[in-house]
Amino acid sequence: MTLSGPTSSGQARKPILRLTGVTKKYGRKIAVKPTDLTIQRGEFFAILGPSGCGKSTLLRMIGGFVKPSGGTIEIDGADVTALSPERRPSNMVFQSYGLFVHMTVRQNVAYGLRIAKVAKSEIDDRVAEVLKLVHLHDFADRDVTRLSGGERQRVALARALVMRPKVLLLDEPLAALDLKLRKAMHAELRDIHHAIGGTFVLVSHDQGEVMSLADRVAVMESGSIVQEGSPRQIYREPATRFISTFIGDANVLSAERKGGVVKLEAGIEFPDEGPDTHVNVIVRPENILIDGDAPMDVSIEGELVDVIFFGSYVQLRFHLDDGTDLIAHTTDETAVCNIEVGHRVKLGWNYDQQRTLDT
Amino acid sequence: MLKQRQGWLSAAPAIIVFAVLFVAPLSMFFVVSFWQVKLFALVPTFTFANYAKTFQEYSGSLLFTLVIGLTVGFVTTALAFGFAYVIRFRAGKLGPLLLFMALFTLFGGYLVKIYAWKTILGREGILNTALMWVGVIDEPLTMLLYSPFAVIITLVHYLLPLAILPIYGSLIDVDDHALEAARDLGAKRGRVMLGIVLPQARFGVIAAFAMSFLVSAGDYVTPRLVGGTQTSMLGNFIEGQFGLRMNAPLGSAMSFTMLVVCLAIIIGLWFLSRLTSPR
Repeated sequence: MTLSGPTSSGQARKPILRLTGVTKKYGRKIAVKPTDLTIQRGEFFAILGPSGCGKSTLLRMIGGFVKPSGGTIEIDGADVTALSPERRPSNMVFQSYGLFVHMTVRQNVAYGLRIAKVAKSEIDDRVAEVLKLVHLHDFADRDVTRLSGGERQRVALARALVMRPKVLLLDEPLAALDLKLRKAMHAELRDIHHAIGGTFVLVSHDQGEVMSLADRVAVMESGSIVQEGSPRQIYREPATRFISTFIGDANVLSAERKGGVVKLEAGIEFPDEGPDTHVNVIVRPENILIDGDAPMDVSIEGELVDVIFFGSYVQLRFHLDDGTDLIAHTTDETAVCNIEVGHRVKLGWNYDQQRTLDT
Repeated sequence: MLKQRQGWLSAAPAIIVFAVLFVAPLSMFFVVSFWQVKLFALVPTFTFANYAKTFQEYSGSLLFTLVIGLTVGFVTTALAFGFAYVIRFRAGKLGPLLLFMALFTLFGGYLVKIYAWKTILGREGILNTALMWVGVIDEPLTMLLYSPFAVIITLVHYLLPLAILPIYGSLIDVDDHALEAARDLGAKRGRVMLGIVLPQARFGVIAAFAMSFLVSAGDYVTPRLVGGTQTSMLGNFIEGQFGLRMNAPLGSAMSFTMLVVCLAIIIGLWFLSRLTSPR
């Protein structure tokens, strides 16, 4: 990479959105603990967490709908903490869309531009352009009440996009759609982000959605961000036991660490430096090796109790002698053919595929 | 086909009641409005004399009645909208309680409210006594009671809870997120109110206005009890024609004139409201 000069590199590194110590209390209840967050220009950023973790509150503080109890919010270098939503260079797509039901698609999308007193010809051009982008150009003069859920969703998106916001906020925008439509919208949202660039901040409880959309993810749990990184990073190196099971499937094996040796309840031991404490050993189902001759660092016996066919892979559930279950995913169906439910099988994994977590 | 027939069948009782108790008497008085009275007896004929007399002698009273009706209509609707808006969007958990309190006053009844205002506004009433005690005035204000002002305030008070209901009903359907979205897109509070809330509450607002306007314009009890001798509305004169003067044809003509004018006003407002909404 070549830098053309200090100004442009400084520009590139200047975050579009910066939260410093942003917090929200409702009475004595803390919805969002003091949070720092930096989002770069052009990023598709996602805030992922279970319902009630404070992610929507955080997004609504960025949009100006909730007044923070403390901290500052900067958009493109300007402090917007005290500004009301209409004065912020951000636009929001709401979960329930919040369409103006007494207007047509075109009137909905043009609303913000009309308020901004943009010239009539420019409004027409920009509305037509954005409606084409979301594939609604044939519906422009229809009442929004006569649209399907997916079409309404696109109107909400178009209405925000037409404003060319510095930050586009998406509050669980696809939660109300069925699975198939949601997947189609994932692809479309990605295309739109590629086409127009811009900074997107998505809030979602759907890990699949976040994995398929975001460049970078912050995982929230009980009011604070517990891990930040690329989806791949978070999947490969979950920081906590909660994250390991929230993002993707995981086998969580209970263990004790004593004098640099971790001992699993299932009877396996391996060296691992750290304080003496209870730990969890995390192994992803696709990393469990079954009955192979391939060498494995950890080896254990289990009884096959269940086989589920998922199409692209097969899920096997094993019962270990200590009573815990071990889930394995395999794409190799021939490996499964040889074992029947009730059989005892040699299982295992390699050290580089496991993760030992103190929390 | 069968479904349609069943539909008519199930609507039949309502249609019969409507026809017998509303359409039939109304049609009869419409016919009578072209008749004449000779020696206290009705004479079937066809004359516009009653309508001519209505315009000659009662157009002033008609105008006065309309002014009172429109004033009550606008004041009641504005207050009801404010109250309903607060219940729906601002009061939070207190909303249902506020609504209940407003509706609870309906238990007071119409006449009770009129007499309550007599006690408040009268010469020895609460307001005068209080003002004199504070020292704002030395002598009781006589213009409070027995004036158009007293009629308006009594009717507004009586109609307010009834007007809140349709407006609140139409505000329930307004999506909170739509208001937030409007703010997000750059609209200030006032603009959100005019461009987003009001158009969606249009039906409720018109219903509330039509109700308070029509009830006020047709009222003759309130003006008699708190309006005094100078505040006679057309309803009082119509009552007189049917009662003391035993001139049903003139009373009918006055009623129909009033009815047509009120209808015209409501229709006019309806079109006006369509003009101001975006489409």
